[in-house]
Amino acid sequence: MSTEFVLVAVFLFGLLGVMVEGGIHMARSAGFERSLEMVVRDIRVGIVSPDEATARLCDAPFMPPSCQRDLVLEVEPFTADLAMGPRHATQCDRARRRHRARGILFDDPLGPALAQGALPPIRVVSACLAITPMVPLAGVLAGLAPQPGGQIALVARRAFVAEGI
Amino acid sequence: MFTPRTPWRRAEDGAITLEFALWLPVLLLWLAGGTALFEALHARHQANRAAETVVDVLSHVRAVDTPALSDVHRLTSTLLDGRSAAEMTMLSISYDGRTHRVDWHWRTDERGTFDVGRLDLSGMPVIPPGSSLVVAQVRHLHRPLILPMLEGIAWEVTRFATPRHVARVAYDTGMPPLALPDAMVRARTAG
Repeated sequence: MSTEFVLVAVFLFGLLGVMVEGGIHMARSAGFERSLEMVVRDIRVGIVSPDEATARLCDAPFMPPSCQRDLVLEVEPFTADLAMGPRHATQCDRARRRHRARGILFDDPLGPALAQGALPPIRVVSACLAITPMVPLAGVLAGLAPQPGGQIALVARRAFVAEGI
Repeated sequence: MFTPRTPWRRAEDGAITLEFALWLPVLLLWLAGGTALFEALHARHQANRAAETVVDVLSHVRAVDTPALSDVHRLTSTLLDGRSAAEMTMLSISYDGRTHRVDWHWRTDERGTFDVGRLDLSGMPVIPPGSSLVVAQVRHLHRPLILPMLEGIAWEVTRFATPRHVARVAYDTGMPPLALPDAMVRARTAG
């Protein structure tokens, strides 16, 4: 009986851990999306700096303490051939390194942007954060991050028309 | 001290194992179901966002052309995890005080004829005479990571907006406007 328990307990507690991790990720993701919506609203009217935007995104519930350091926030013009922003945890890390190297997080969201043909200038805002789960491999098991690192990517993206003020 | 297992203890152990075997799939289903439900709701949220963004872009233009509308469709892929909306319809509805008309329409799937009767206008605001509305209808296919039986779910969202700079967004399709029966508008709009 105890041998059976020992064999099964690892699996059972792992499963419970994945459930808890998945629940936290869902709550975190919903809060992150909501925060980005609020931040985009402020970017749209030009009343938020990159640092404030990052701080506000990291105020979302269940965000890790390293959020402000690791978060990648990009504001870029929409072009027909716009490359997709980061989607997975490893891509978030890569984007973060790229940004650190270039020292750029924001372009000028309300600055002059070329209109695409008949369309008004559109800006795309992407926020990306790679999170190491509390339960190892929880992300992989829950199908949240299919990369070898086992990290979970939190990605949210919005677009808006840059009208100017 | 070693106590030999009695037949009663063995029966109890067997019952516990059986109970566990019965509960384990339920636990796994809870996990899979919870994740799948979250994914599905997240996909619906994305479809809502995409439709709102598209209609916002359309409300800011004075005139559109086919390449611009294709770009708008491409824009949805930045909001839908890299996948463009499976089907998208953009149109302009105007009201001259007597009849509602579809001035122009654009669809990703141009096969078949455009059926006005299939438009989902629930929640359409009342259009003041002499003005118009732009409409974006996004159909987003949900592709679950787990529970593939949920593969067929598609979220369809319709959003409306009033053009900001002109009374009517122009698009020269060369096709005559389509009449929108007033009864249909009355039946489907709020109030």
